[in-house]
Amino acid sequence: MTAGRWMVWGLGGFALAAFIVGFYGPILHFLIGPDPLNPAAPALSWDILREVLSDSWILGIFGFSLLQAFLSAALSILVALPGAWVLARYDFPGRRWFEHLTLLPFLLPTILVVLAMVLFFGNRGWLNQALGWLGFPQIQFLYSLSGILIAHVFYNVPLALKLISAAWMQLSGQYEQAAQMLGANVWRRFRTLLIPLLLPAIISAFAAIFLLCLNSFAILLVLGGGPKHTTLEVLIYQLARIELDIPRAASLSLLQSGLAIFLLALLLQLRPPTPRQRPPNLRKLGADLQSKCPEAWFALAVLVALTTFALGPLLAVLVDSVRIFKHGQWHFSFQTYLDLFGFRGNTRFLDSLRNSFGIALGGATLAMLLGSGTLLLILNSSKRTRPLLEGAFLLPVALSTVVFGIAWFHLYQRILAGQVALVWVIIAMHGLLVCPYWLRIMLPAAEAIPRQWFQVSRLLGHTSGTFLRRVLLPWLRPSLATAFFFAFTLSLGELNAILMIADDTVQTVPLEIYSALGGYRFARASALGVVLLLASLLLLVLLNLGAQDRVGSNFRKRN
Amino acid sequence: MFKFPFAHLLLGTVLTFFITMPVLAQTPDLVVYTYDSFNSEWGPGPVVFKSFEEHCACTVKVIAPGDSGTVLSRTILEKANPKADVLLGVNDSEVHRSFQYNIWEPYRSPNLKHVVPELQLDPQHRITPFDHGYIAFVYDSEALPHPPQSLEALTDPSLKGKIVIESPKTSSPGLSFLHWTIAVYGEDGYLAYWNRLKPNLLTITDGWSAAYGMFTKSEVPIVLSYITSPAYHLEYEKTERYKTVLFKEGMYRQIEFAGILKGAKHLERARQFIDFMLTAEFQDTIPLTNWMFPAAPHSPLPASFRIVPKPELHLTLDRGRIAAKNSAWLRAWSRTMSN
Repeated sequence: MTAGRWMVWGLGGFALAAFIVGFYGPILHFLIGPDPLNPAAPALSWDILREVLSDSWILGIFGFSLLQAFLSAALSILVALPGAWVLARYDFPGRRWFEHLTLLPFLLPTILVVLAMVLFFGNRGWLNQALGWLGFPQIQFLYSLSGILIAHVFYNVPLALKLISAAWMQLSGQYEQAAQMLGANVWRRFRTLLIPLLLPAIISAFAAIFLLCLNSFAILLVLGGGPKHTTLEVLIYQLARIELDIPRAASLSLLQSGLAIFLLALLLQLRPPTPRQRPPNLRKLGADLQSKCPEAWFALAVLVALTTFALGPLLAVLVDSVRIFKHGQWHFSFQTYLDLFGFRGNTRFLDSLRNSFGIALGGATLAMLLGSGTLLLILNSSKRTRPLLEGAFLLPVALSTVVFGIAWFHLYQRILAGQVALVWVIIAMHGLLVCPYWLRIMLPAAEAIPRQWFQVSRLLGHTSGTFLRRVLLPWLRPSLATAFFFAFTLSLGELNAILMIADDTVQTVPLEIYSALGGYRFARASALGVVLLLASLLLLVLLNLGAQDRVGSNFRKRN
Repeated sequence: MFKFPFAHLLLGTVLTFFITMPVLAQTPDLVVYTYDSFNSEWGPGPVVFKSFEEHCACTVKVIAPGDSGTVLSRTILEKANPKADVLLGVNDSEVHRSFQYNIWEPYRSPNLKHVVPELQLDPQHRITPFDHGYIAFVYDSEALPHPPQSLEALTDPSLKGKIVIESPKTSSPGLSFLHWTIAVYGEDGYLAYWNRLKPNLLTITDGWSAAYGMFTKSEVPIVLSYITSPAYHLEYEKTERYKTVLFKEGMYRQIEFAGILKGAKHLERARQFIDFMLTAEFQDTIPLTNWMFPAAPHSPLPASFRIVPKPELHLTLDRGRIAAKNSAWLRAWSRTMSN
C-alpha cells in the first residue's frame, strides 16, 4: 500500500469511527432504548409515527418547513449569482476580506442578529426612517414569509457566493467564446452553458443552505410574524424541551431529517461531473473602472449592494453597543465597554471569551480532521456508494440539534462525566456538528483538482508528501481558510447542544449574551457581540495572511 | 519569497488555548442549578451566592444554562443521577411538570414564617417560594398616551400590529399570559379572545428578550413583560417613559420557587441554603437585581418601585387543572393562531 492509500484509510477510518461513536451510536441508542422519562415505554413507537403522519396540521407545518428552506436556498443562490460573477471576473483590493467578512453574521447568536434586523429593516427601522425622510412610502417586509426569507438570504448569501465563485473562477473561457462566435446571446449562453457548468457548485451550496434554514428557529418565530409560519424545528424544540414529550420529538425529528436527506441525496445524484478546470484569470476592477467599462461599473454596484446588505445589520449591532438610554433619550457612550472589562473587578467576561475561542478553535480543528477523512472517502468511493456516503455525513446537520443534545446527554453524561473536562466533550460535539459544512465548502474545491496533476506528479517522481505540500495544499489553501473560518464561526455561535451539558467551567460568550439579554442589558449584549466579532477578525487576519493563494498570485505577476 | 508561517501560528494559537483550558473542577460543597439571568453579573446570583459562601464557609458551584424551562427540563432528564443539590427558579406555570416527575426532596424551612402565606402553595413543602411578581403589558407613554386598561381593550382595532408577546410554547411569561386569558375568559372563551387579539400582534417571539428588545427599539409601543419593568428603567435609565397599568380583569401572578433535589449529595448544606434564601440578606437583594417582589419582605421596597402599581385583584389557575390540560390548551392555541 502506498502512503496515499494509508492516508485515505487512516483518516477516512478515523472519520467513519468518529461518526459512528459520536453520532450514529448515541442516536440509535437513544431511539432504540426506552423513553428516558418513562422507562416502560420505548422512545420511538410506530403508533406515534402514525399519529404524527395522520395529523394534517403537523403535515402542514412540515410542508412549510421544507418550503421556506427551499425558497431561502433558491433565493440565496439567485442573489449570490451576480456577486459570484464579480468575484470570478475581477480582482480588487480587499477581495479576500470581502469574502470572509460577509461570513461574520454566523458568529453572533441569532437573537442579536434578529434584533439588529429589526433596528435596520423594521417598521420603525433606519431604512424606513431614511425612506420617510426622503419622502418615499414606508416598506414593511418583516413579520411575514418575506421577513423570514430576507433574514435567511442575509445569512446565507456569503456561503453561496463563496461556493459558486470558486467554481466560476475556474471555468474555462473557451466554451463561452465558442458560443459567442456561434451567435448565442448573453441569456442563452448563461442558460445553456454557464448554469450547467456551475451546477455542481450550485447544488452543493443549495444543500448546505437548505439544511441551515431547515433548523432555523428564532428567525422564524420573531421575523415570521408568529405561529402561522411555524416550522417543525419549533415544534420539536417545544416537545423536547418544554413538554418533555421525547418520543414525539424524536419521531418528528426523524421524519424531518429523513426526508431532508432523501431529497438531498436525490439532488446530489443529479449532480453532473465537475467540468475541466484551469487556474483563475482575474481582471483588475480598478483598471476596468478607469477605462469606463460598463461591466465594471455594474460589478462595483453589485459589490456595494452586497456589502451594505451584509454589513448593515452588523453596523446596527455596533451602534446599539455604543449608545445608552438615559433620562428618556439616547446618548453616545462607551460605558458598556468599560463595564464589560472592569465591572465589579471580575474577569468573568475574559474567561468566557477564552472558553469560546478554545471551543471554537478546537471544534473547527476537529471538523477539519474529520472533514479531511470524509472528503477522502467520498472522493475514493464508487459512483453508487457516493450519494450514500454524502448523505450519511450530512445527517448530523439535518437532525435537530435539540435531539442530538439530548441523545448525547444520555449516552455520555454517564460515561464521561467526571472523567474528562467538559470542554473536550463540547469540542467533540461541535466537531461533528460543523464537519458537514466544512465538507460542503471543500468538496467542490477538491473535485476541481485537475486529474492530470496526479499523473504529472507521479512522472516527476514526487512522493505523496511532496505532492501534498507542493501541489495540493497551495491549490486548496483559500478554500481551506474559508472552510476553517466557517466551521469556527458556526461552533462559536452554537448553543443548543451546549445548553444540555454545560456547567460552570464552560461559560461562553453566547451564553453571556443570552443572560445579558434576559436581564434588560441590551447594549451589553451588543457590546459582547462586537467584541466577539473583533476577536474573530484577528483570526481572520491570520487566515488571510496564510491563505494568499499562490496559484492566483503567480498568475497576477505574469499579467 | 517570504512564507508566512500560517500553519505554525494557527497550531500555536490552538495549543495555547488548550493549555489554558480549565481542567476538572474541584468538588464543591453545594451545587445549585438556576436560570441564566439570575446568575448574570447584574443578577442576584453573584451577590447572594457569595454571601452564602461566607455565611457557611463553604464553596458553591452555580450552573446556569439557559432559561428556567431549559434548566427544569435538564434537571428532570438527569433525575436518575442528579448533578445538583438545589434547583432555584421554577415558576408556578412550570411547577406541575416538576411534580409529575417527582424530583423534589421535601423540606420545611423554619424561616417559612417570614413568607407571605398566600405564596405557600405546596402543603408538602417540596418547593419553597423566594419571590413573586405579575406579568403585565408595558407601554411606551410617548408613543401611546392612552394605553389600554384591560385585556379586552388590547383587542381594539386602533392597536393593529402594535403589540408583541412571547410564545406560550417556548417562554414562561408567554405561558402565563395564555393561562391569564383562560382564567379570565374560561376554557370556552379564550380561543375567541385570541382570535380577536391576533390582528394586533405584530409578532410572537420565542422568548422575553426578543420581545422586550423590539419594544425598547421602538418597533412596538406595547409588550408583554413584567409589572416591575418600569422600575428598571426608572432605576437605571432615570426615565418614566415606560409604564404599565393594572388591567380591570385582574393581574396574573407568577411565583418563583426553589427546592432540594431528590438524591442531593449535600443535603444538609442544601437545607441551610433554603433557610438562607428566606433571610433579609437574600430577600433584600431581589427587587433591584431580579426585578420581582421578595417572598419574605424584610425591608421596604426600593424607591424606584414607586412606579410599580399594586395589584388588588390577582388571578391564578388551579395547578391541578394546568397539569391536566396544559398540553391540550397549547395544541388548541397553536392551531387557532396558525389559521
